[in-house]
Amino acid sequence: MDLTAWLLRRTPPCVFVLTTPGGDLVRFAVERVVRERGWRAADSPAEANVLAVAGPRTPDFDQYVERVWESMPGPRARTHITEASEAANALAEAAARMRDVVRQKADSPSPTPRRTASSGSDMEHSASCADHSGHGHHMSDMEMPGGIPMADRGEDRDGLRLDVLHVPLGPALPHWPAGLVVHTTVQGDVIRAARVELLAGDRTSWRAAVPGLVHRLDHAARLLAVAGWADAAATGRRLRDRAVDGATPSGVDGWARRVRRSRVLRWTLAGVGGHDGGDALTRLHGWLAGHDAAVPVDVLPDLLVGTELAAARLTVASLAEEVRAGG
Amino acid sequence: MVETWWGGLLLPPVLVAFAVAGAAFDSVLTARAAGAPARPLRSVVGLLAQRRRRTAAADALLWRGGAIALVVAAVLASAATPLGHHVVGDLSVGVVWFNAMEVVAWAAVWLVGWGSNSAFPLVSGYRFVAQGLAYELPHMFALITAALGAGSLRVGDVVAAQRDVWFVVWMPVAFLVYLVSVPAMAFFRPFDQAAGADAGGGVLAELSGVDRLVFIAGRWLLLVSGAAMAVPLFLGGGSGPLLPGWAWSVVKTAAVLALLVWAGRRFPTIRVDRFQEVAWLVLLPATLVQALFVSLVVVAR
Repeated sequence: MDLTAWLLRRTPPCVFVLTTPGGDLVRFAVERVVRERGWRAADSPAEANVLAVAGPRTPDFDQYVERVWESMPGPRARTHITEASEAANALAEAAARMRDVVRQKADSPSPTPRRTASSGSDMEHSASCADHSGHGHHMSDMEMPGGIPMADRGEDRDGLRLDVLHVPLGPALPHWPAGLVVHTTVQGDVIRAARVELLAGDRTSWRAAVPGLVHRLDHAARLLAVAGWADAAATGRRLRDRAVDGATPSGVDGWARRVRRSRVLRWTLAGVGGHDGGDALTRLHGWLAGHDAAVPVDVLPDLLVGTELAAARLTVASLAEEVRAGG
Repeated sequence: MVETWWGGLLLPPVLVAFAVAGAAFDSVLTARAAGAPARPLRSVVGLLAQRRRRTAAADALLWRGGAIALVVAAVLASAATPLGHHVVGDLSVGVVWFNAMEVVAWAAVWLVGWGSNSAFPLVSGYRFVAQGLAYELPHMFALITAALGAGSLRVGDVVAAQRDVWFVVWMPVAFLVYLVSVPAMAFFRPFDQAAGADAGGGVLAELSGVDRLVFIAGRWLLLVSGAAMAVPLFLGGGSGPLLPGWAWSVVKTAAVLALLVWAGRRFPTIRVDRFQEVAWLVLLPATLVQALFVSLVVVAR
């Protein structure tokens, strides 16, 4: 018996969802299918075997899709879903391709992808400028591990000389706003500089198609997921999926009460992403209470500089930036 | 305590059985939260079928070695843990041995984070190591308190000292701190920031296939080892009515493991930078006061 075929037939789909700008309605449908069938949502491309691109096709998004695809080890299958109603069929069909042993044996990705999976992109080490002889010798003469230039160094906040890395956050991150890229410069895990890029696409018109409750539930669930409370996030998404259908789901109040009461959550979020007298915690409580609290995305760099990566993820998840993107 | 050579052969499968049961219980809870059918352990099949991958300029030796070191350390940590009256090796410094093996896990997590040459795993790896002292010190004092009560670092002596009263009765603070610090040492929920969603899976972000399976198995084994050690240290070891000693050890270990898995899901990930304050200002003084109390009782007896 062919062991590989046997294993493949029983491999549960683990789906990495990549949302294009304005693709959130499709993402809801994809997440719902993944959840209801007992599949897993991947935290990084390395663990995924199905890549689901959700949302309208936009021109400059393909490079990100390709990067994620390159860093998926296989067995793997990908699908692009543009309509929420197509999600169930498209995912089932992708899962079938992922389990097709003939197809998977033909598809052997390069064992050493150039990119790392976690950011969907290279760590763009800043020493690409090292050839400009800022260090008195030509770095290009030295043999670099893997052909990657060495990281440059700079003063950190404590006056130590530490490596400076350029790490782009997004758009291929789970629980991350669609089409947002934050180009960060980090030392250790502290962000020293940040620049926000919004990928082109119609990111606002879909919002009118569903009630405000859906947005608030989705924002809250995303923040809870980044905060590492998977169960509360899963419940929030279940409620969201029922609200998309137009119903006012029962259980919202009980769930909101449970989230509000969590002392650990308050402790985790208090003081994160402080802006205009509020922080991540007050914005979450605002969503739970029915307010569409939103912070314009322009202030994001100011909020991120000086924070460490975990707090930066919480800050971004607490913004609900799509509401006033660019304005 | 009876030391047997075949105990060494039996130890790994027993630990694996506990780890499998714990992971199955965990996935049932996950499915319930998602309102989906439970399919425990199917993801193991998926990882076996998945290809291994490499990242550019990865330090493959350290990367894969780290995951293997995690598994080995987790199994060795239980070498001094008795199952009823049977133990692989009743070392004279068994309590210290257990703790030393747990700390190997730090090196393992760091190596896995470092080896993949990728930003998120690297950051997750070193923030885990840098802040581990806040977990380790309360954990160590909780262990020491049990040893103090027995007047010995030998796990067999600790069990024997609980013939009349279990240590959990007169060392409740040490027991609670132990229960909190075991998931922290195993970077398990809610102390899972080293592998957290905020960093795209943390040190796990670049692992796939068998490498990922080994690492995740190592983490479960470490949690099982911690849960199992709670039984001889605080819960009277294999003592109990009717059932034989080994059965009581199994029942108590399963109960502690289930408690840790269930309780861990009820909280968001505890950010280690915020936990520092609690660890240094609350847990550490509390364990010291507990140790002082135990010392006074031991001296007065």
